[in-house]
Amino acid sequence: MGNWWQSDLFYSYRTNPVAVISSVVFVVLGLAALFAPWISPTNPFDAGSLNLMNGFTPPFSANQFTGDYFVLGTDDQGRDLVSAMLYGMRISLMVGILAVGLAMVLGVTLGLVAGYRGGWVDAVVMRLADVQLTFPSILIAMLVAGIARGLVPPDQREGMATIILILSIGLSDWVQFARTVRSSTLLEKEKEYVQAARVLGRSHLAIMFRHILPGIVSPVLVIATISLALAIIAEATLSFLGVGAPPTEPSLGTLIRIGQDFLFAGEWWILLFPALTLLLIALSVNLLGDWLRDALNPKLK
Amino acid sequence: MTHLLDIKDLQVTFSNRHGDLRVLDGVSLHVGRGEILGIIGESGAGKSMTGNAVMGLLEPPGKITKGDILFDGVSIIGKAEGLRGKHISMIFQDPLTSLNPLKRVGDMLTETMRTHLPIGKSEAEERARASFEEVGLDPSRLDAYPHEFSGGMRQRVVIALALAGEPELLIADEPTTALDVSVQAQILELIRNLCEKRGLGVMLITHDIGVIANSCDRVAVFYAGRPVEIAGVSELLAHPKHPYSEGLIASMPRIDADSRHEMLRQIEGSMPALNKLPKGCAFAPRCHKVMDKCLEQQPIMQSGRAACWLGEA
Repeated sequence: MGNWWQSDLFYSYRTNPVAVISSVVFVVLGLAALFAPWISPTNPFDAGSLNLMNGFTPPFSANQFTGDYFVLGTDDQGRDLVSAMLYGMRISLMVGILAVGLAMVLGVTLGLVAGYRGGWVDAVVMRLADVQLTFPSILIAMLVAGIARGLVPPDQREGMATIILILSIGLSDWVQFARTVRSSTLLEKEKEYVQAARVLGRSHLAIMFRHILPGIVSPVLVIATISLALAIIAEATLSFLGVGAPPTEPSLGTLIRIGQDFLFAGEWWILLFPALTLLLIALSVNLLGDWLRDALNPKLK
Repeated sequence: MTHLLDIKDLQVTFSNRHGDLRVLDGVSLHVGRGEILGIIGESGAGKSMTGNAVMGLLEPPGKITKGDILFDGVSIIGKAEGLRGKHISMIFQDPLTSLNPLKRVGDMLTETMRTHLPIGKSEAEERARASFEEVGLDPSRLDAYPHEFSGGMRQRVVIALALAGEPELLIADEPTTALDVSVQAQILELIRNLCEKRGLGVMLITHDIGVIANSCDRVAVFYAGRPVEIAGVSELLAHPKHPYSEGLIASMPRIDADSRHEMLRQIEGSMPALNKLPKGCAFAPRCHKVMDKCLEQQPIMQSGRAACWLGEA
């Protein structure tokens, strides 16, 4: 019996420098985001501690009025950019991971049921997926966000903003999972062991989740990784468009939007550093996803 | 006394735009407790279809259009799903594809047991070990995956799985076809033993008359969707009543015959397509004892021996 460090997957990982580097980058950024409250110099969400006099401090130099020093400068509110980015990454990553989780649970369940049951269930789920695919997913996300905001009372909108974000990105992204899982299920359910499980009297639910699902996890994993990069970008896009994280609790996308306002006034750093961070996260996750896809593809072995 | 399984005048029809295809017609047979009924016939004769009909595994457009299937005296048509694994189990030809490659065999075994029996996890593990010993496997292999077993061992695992719910009837659909001959004998002996020890009724589907000779109590010979002869094994092998059974037996190589000088006999021609069945006996075009009556009227099986006009005259 092999241990995980002897597995083919780990060997492929070890011998692929791109995979190693991008996973290290992702883990470092992820840990930084996770421990932001402990490592960041200031708390950017605490509006009371901000000094407007510190606004627009350029990076690598002290503020001309207060003499305070910020490594990467401050934004218009005088928020330390390092702290804001650490907290922003936290929101971006959390929203991304939870949204992909939601999309995965939804898509895998629907795809599994559609593929296994077939008939009208299959037709309804897949036509729904087809219709949704005809719209750009960011549009779907904005639609869901808009509807959700309309349903939430105005005084709770700030607090619900993150949940609405997760919901809207998750609901715009389940189609990928559902389609892949459905097609894998169609292949898998024709295998004789599925019929063998039926004649042994296992229930449909047990066959779907205990027999078929374990056989189709690898494409799901690949899609989940690539979707994570897309979800993080989608979150940034929504926040950039102003329907995402509120300015009081900025995510990377919100910071980029704020920075964009001042880009042509010469305050370039407010946009550049959050944008680079976003690029780094999305790129590392994407490269990891590419590697995983190749590593799990039996045709490329 | 009620038989364990009693199939009465079963008819299975597949309908499509070209019309109705009777893949089974007038199938009547029974299996008793502790008895192995062999079902033999060439491809497309309806052997597996009979097994599938009992298990309730007919896929649309196939459906039962006539007759009844009684299990323990109760009709099970449309109700087979609730009996699967618990009362009737089935094993298939290829033991590798009938096992989930991603699951440990022990997990499959305990899960199946706990689906059907009101037992806890530790008792299921206990029983799994016992059942591995019963089918002649080392209980330490319960942690292994299917690919870590040989073909014969896999079929033993499949049998252990099929018996996990303690069924009364086992349908074995060509259980030894994918195995080599020595392993085949072991598996048949295992089925034979289980049958005697547990009082298990077995429906053994095969196209190998050697398998029948080795292990069955009675045999049903299928041709073109219906049994043409049902008899005890020794009776059938020694004195086949139907010319088709006769041809099947004659086409088997014999170790005692002087085969160096004798060509193996074969039945001329092939089975007619089910949508082009002749008016009279389906075997008539290939039968060397064909009479006028055979072409006119379909023979019926009387007093449960052979469906042939020869015996009547």
